[in-house]
Amino acid sequence: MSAIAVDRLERRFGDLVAVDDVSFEISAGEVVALLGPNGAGKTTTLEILEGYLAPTAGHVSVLGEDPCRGGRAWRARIGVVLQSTSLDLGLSVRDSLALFSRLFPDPRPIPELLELIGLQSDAHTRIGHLSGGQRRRIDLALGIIGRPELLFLDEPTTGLDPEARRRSWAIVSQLAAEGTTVLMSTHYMEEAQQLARRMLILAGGRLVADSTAEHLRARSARSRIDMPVPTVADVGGLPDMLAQHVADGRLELLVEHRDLPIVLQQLLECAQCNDVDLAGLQIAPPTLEDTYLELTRQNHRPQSPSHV
Amino acid sequence: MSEHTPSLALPTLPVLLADQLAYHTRVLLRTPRAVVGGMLLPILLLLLRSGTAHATHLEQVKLLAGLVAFGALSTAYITHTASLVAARQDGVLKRWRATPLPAWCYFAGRIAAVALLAAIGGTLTALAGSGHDHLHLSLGTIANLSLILVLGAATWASIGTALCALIPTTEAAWPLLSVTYLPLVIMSGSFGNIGGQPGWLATGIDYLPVRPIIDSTRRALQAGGGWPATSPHDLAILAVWAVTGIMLSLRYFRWAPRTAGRRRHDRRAP
Repeated sequence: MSAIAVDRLERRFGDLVAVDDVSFEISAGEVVALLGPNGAGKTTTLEILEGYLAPTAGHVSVLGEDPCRGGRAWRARIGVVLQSTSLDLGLSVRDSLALFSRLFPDPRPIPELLELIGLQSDAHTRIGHLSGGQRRRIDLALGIIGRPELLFLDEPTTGLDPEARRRSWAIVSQLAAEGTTVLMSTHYMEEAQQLARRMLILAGGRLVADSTAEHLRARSARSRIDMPVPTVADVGGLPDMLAQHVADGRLELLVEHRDLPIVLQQLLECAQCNDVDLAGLQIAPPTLEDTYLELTRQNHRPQSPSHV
Repeated sequence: MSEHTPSLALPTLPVLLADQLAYHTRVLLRTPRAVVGGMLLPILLLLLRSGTAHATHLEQVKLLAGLVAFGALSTAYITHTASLVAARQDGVLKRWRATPLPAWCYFAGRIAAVALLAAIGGTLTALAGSGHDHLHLSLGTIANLSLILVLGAATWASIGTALCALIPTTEAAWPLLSVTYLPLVIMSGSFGNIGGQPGWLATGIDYLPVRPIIDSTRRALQAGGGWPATSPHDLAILAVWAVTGIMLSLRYFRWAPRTAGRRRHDRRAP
C-alpha cells in the first residue's frame, strides 16, 4: 500500500500556479527527497500532504486518508518538521518536549530524544537561549516524538553546522532503517544522496524528474570532464574554448556526448603539441547537482502571473 | 532507539485540556503585557485617581467597576489577541496544528487561561479598591465578580480570535487593538461617565460588550447585588458577541503566517 498517493495535484494562489499537475506515489518505508529551486512548489506540496492546505484540483491520499480530513488518530501517525523553527522560546527544552509528548499515544521517552539530538546538557535551558542550530534540532525531535509512520521534513538541516547536520542524517537514517517513510525537501544534493534513494525534482510547479540519483545521472546527455591544470603554462597550452573552464587549477566542464570526441581530440593535441599533462583526466557522468541544474534550467518558467 | 511496546490509545480530552490550560496560564504569566496591563495598570490608576475623596458610595463603586473591567478586558482582548498573532507569525500555531491536539482544545485551553487570569487580575483590582475606598467585599461578591469576569473575558477573547484574521503581523496588532479597545472602554464608562454623548451613540454603546460587563461588575460590587449579578439582558449581549466571534473565527482564522508572493488560504476551522 502507498504511504502517499498524489494524482494530478494542482494548487493555485489566485493567478499563481504553485503546483501544476503533479503525480507520484511513495511506498511505505521509502525515503524520498523532494528537490527544486526556490518557488518550485516543494513547500506547497508538503503543506498539502501535511493537511495545511487544500488542493485546488487533483487527489491526495496520505496513509490512506485525505490530509484535510485527517483526524487525531491520523495526525498521531505523521511527524512534521516545518521549514522554519516554530518553538515557544520561553519553555525549556525538556518542558517543550514533555508538553508535546503528552499529545501522542506512544511517545518516545524524553531522555532518548535529548540524547538523539545531543542536547542532554541543555535540557533545562530555555529554548530562547539556544542557537538557531540547536533550536532546529528541537524541531526535529518534536517531529519524531510520536514515533511517526510517515515523517515530513521541510529543509530540516538548513542552518545547521556540519556536525549537527551529520547527526540529523544519522537520526533520519535510523528512522528509515526502522521502516519510517520519509519525504524530505532539501537544497543540499549531498543530503539528498546520503539519505534518499529516490529523487522527485520540481521546477516551475511541475514534476520534471522522478528517479534514483544514479538513473538521473546516467540519463543525462552530457559528460563531466575533470582534469588538474596546475600551472599557468598548462592553461596557456589549452585552446581558449577549454581554458575558459579552468578555475582554481582544475579544468571542469560538462560536454554533450556528441561533442565528447572533439574535446578529447583537442586535449590529446594539446598534450602532444603543448606538453599539457593529461594525468588525472577523468570523464564521468555528471554529478547529481549537474543533472539537477540541467533539469531545472530546462524546465524553468519565468515568474509570470500564471506560474510561481 | 529503544525497544518499546506500543500503546495505541490517544490521550483523553480532559487530560489534553488540563495540559493546555496549564501551558497557556504559564505562558501568560510570563507575558509582561498581561501582568502590567491586566493587573498593575488598573491598580495604579485606582491609586492615582483624584477627586473621589468626597464621592458617594455609588460613584466609588462605579469607578472601581470600570477599572476592574478595563484591566480584565485588556488581558482578554489585547494580550490574548497580540500573543495569538505573534504565535502565528512565529510558526508556533502551525506547529500545534501538526499534532493530534484537536484545534478546539488548543483554543479552549488558551481562552480558559485568559479568562482565569482576567478574573484574578480583576479580583485583585477589586480587592485593592475595597481597601482604598473602604468597601466590603464578601466571598459571595468575589465569586459573583469572578463569574462576570470569566464570561466577559471569554467573550472578548473570542472577538480577539476573530480579529486575528485582519491582523497580518505583530507590528500591526498593537495599533489595531488599541484603536478598537481604548475608545470603546472610555465611551463605555471605564474611567467614569464622560457624558454629552448623542442618544444614538449611547444606545449603540449599550449593545457593545463593555458596558454590560461594567454594569454587572458594579452590581456585584454593590452590597446585596444578588446572585448572579449579570442580568439576562447583559448576558444576552455578551452571548451574541461571543457566538459572533466564534463563528467568524471558524470561517476566517488562519493558522499559518501570511507569506509574501502568495495568499494563504489556510482556513481550517479552529
